[in-house]
Amino acid sequence: MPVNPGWRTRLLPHTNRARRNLMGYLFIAPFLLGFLLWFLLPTATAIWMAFQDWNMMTPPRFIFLENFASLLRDELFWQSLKVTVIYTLFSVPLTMLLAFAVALLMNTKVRGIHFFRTLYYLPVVVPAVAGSILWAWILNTEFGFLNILLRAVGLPKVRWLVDPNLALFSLILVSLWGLGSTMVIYLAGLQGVPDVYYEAADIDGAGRWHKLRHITIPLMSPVIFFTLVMGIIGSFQVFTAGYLITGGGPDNATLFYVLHIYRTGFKNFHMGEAAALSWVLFVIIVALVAIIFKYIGGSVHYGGRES
Amino acid sequence: MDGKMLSRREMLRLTAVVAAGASLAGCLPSSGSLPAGEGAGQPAAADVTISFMGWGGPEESQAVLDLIALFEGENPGVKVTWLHTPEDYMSKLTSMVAAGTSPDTLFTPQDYYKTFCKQGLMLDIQDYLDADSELDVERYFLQPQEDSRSAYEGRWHGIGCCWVGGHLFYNNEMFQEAGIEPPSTDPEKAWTWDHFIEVAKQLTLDSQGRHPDDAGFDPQDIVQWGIDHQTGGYFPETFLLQNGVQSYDESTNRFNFAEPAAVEGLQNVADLMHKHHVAPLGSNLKDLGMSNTQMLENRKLAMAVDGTYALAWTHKINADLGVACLPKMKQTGTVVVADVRAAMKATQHPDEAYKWVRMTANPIYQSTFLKIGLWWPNQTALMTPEGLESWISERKSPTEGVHPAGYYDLVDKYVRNHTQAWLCPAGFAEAKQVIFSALESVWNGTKTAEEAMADSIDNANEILATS
Repeated sequence: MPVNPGWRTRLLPHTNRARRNLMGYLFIAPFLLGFLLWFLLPTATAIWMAFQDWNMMTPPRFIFLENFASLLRDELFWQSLKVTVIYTLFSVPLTMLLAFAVALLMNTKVRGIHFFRTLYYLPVVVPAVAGSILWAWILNTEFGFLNILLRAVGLPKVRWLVDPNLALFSLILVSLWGLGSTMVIYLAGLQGVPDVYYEAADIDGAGRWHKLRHITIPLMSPVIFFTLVMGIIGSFQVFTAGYLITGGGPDNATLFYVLHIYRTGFKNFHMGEAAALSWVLFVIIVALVAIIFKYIGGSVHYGGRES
Repeated sequence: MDGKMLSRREMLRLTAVVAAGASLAGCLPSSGSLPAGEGAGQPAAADVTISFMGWGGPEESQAVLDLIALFEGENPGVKVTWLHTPEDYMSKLTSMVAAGTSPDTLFTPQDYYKTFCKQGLMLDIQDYLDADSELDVERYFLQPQEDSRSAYEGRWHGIGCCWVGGHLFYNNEMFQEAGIEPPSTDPEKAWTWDHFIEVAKQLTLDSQGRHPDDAGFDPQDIVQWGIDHQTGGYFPETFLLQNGVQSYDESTNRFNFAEPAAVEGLQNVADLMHKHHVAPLGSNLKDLGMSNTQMLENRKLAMAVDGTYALAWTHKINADLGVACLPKMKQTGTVVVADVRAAMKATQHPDEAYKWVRMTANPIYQSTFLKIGLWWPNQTALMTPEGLESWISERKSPTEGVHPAGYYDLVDKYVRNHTQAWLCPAGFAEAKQVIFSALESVWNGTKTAEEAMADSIDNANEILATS
């Protein structure tokens, strides 16, 4: 076959091996490019930015650690940290507990179980914005569905979202609505527990509680541990509910940490301080996860091998 | 087969990879020209192209395009590109400035205007104005309001588009049926605060038909409210003005929100909700996507304090609509606001940019929005008897006319003599956020105005001082 003296001859590698390599690089290029442009580059920029005073409008000015010093002096930093920690302390364990209970129920063999599984998972499919607006309506003091129910049975109205002492707990309540995603993970875990253990326990005369305590929970511990770690990471980054339902209020009672970052950056245009806040959050999450691995990770049961 | 040739399968793979890469690259910000808005028609055959960034609904956007067409007709060789940005305006603007692609001209929100001036971002247009034979600032614009808004260190960096401010809306049928004299558009006859509360009580009912002062009245079971009061934006400053105190002191560069008279003005409005039980919590309505407009129409509400612009939709309600001056604590009046049309210092074409900015002070353009009930004028020519006649259309029914009876007085007397420009010094938006967050507890009834302002005023003033 005659050699075609076109562009391909000049540009493409000449050996099969080199061509295969090129092909491989091209295939991973979209990911690598994306990773570089939208992860590595912004991360590097955020490191640089954390040491600058920059309002996006006038040129940045190097101020070294002043952003970190000023955020420590900022009451709202501590307030947002407090709000986020309280939210995490309640939302994560409650979600895990309830999701586990629901998963146990959903693992029983009854008619129509697929329907119920779908039902509990359905809220996860609802877009976060739509869900938030829906809950804002339900929890409205004057016209909300929940208060109409309370009034109907003769109870006083509760100021779910407008009372600074209640608003955060209302949002924790709302967060439980999305327990379906955790439930599905538990359900998958439960279905992976071999029946032979339960059969053996039956023969030994173990009751339900004993089976749960000595078979289900130990065998599920890797899954539970996974949801704990992911739950905490996710909970420290919570944003949507605070942004859409309460706007961080009343009186900063629901000012989540990430909402505070967003406001610092895109409302008050202190990009440097916002970057510094982000790095502080990163360090907090890494430290928390390390602590969890050290103190709880040891009691996780990995298929007979202790970790 | 020759090693240098690609098989068809390889060629297809390669194509797919390249396509994926290209779509990825497509997501990158373009380094060259600005994104063209709806206004960009033909590729520029003109010598100079000015970009103009702003927000607004479809009506406002269309009016801008019409004005551009008029401008381009009068100024051959100059083209204006409309960068219509209805959502998330400030984030997009700052991103553009940060990227070095500032718009030439723009709507500048009043609460950011002087911050931008201080940062040296706005084009100083004072010399242009002085040389402009048509725009005689002292006579062309409503004064001293306009100077207060537009002048930064004595020099204008932009031209206000109009004024908007607070007044009363009411359902006249509900007044007639209750046998109560409705409020007036004449500032001389503005209600006292006590009378206002009294009327609001008479027009508030629980489900058993009891008023707030009646025995057994259940504030948890209100079915008809006397008043809905806006508390956002420039309204806190309006409550201060009504109680005779300035929100900001220029000589000390400090807010006055914690002054006794200021605290009293704020508390008066909070009391409507929590002490007198004549007003619903504003946040409750907003969360529901329900507005006072619907409530006025279906008689859940007798009066509403809202901005001028609300007339643009409220005039369509199926009820006998009335408007009036705000009641007086010490005086009637409202803070007035609106964005400033300005050019950025970074523009390559300051002469053309000024030409375009001054075009937005065209009475034809302003009248478009006066006619639909969105704005009040800031041009004196539109406030003379003939000027007022040219844009006020008396509302006779939900579909005929826009402006309720007495609107003429409202503009001629109330807007002219009882308004004050929103005082927004450099650093205002951020400092006000601190006050605003603290006020949430006041509107919720969990803190008194005195406590909330005492807690927040130093932080807010600190931000002003360091901006």
